[in-house]
Amino acid sequence: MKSFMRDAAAKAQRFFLEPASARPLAALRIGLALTLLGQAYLVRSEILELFSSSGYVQGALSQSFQVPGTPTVLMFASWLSHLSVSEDLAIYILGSAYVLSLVFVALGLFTRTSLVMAWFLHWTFMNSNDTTNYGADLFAQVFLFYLMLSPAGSAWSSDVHLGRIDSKPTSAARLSLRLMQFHLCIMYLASGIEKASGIQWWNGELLWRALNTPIYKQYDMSWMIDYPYLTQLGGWATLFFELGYIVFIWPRSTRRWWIMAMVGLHLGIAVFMGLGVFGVLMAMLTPALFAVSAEPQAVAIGAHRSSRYSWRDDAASTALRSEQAT
Amino acid sequence: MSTRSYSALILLGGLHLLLVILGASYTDLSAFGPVGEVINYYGEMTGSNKSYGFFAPGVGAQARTRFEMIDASGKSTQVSLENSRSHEADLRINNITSQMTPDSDEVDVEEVARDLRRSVAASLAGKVFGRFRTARSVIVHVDEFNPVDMPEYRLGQRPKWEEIYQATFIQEKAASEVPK
Repeated sequence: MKSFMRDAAAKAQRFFLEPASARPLAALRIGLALTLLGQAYLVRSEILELFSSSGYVQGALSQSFQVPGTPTVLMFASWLSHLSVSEDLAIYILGSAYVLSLVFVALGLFTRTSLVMAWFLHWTFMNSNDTTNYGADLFAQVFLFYLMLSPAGSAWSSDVHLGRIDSKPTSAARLSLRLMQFHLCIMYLASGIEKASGIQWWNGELLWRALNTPIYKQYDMSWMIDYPYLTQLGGWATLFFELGYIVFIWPRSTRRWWIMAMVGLHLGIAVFMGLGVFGVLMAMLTPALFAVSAEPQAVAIGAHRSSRYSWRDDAASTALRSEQAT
Repeated sequence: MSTRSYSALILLGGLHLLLVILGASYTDLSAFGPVGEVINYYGEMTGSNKSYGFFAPGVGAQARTRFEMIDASGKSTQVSLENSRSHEADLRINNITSQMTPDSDEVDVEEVARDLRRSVAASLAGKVFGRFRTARSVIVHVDEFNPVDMPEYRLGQRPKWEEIYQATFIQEKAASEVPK
């Protein structure tokens, strides 16, 4: 019994703490920052309408949606007004700081500070007009938070090139990666369970309705009425891949199928429902966290491998290490 | 860092994921008094208190808002706040509008729903007054989109918009009539 416990503890320690490369974290960092920069570009002309006290959701009404004690754009604007800075200018200053922090995050320059700033400003903008938030904002907040606590700047970053940060594998990188992987598993499981409780996901109505609802409709999909099994199959496949994610994303033999399914699902949402930012952000999460190798070995093998995505899992990597040693 | 420190971090990470599970299962922690409030605040910071029911259990009601602007001469013009410069921006404006639909997440009491709807409509009307300076009154129409099931569609029924709310906002003088 004692040896079993020792074995289990050793395995858990390896699973959570074996030094890992920060490449998956860096892939997520760069992908997330670029997606959010794209989002900022798309809403740039509406920034005052979305966040000023004379915008779409005005004054006291916007406050009624806020969680007490959370930072908001108008709170900063009120502070800056003491320096004779107008509300509009304050919003532009915060928006510019957010964009600048995202550029630094993407480049991996002063990575930790930039990530803290990007997370805080993203949270501030989210709090400032809760009525306009949707899934993309939530996932960005979740993963900016993880990234700011992780050594996300220890790979593919200017900080490494400038010698400001060491790129050696760390336990912190492994632990951060595991937390984010588990979060994604919980998210897909919860999403799958909730979807499975609705009849629309089983009888094919969901896809039919979603693709023909004005706000999401991108193309004329009325032809689907002649292929009800297609919409039904789409619903079932989504349930299968979301509910199975927590199990099948881990084994090497099924991982690539789940990665492809998730990328396909989310890019499909981006193309056919017009949810571009959400679709791209979600499509990027699984490959970054499960397809980019975290194994330090990839660096040792040679530069041609270190910069590429690898499907190898821990076991395969260990075998490769043994080969190298012999 | 020592292994003990990392063990403590694993424990903290485990607690964080526990909160993620509780959030995903719609557990309300505010019932736990001040501790629950602190945890809720942490959830707001980290996103760990959120649920993931996108398009679950199904596609809900969709709403749109139409604005009818009437100037001093009584001329009525249909105007829109959505500018279609980007779908991302329009999506956010549509999210505001959806606060006025009966099954909005924010609404669970009829009276609250009525007040909220009126406040959101007033806020949006205010925006129209600001953008169209000749407006004397603005009528806010909220329509709900009623999708049609596949079997009904085959029988010839088609989805349609149905007005679920209307409110009129009047100002004594249009902004353009007020001397600067």
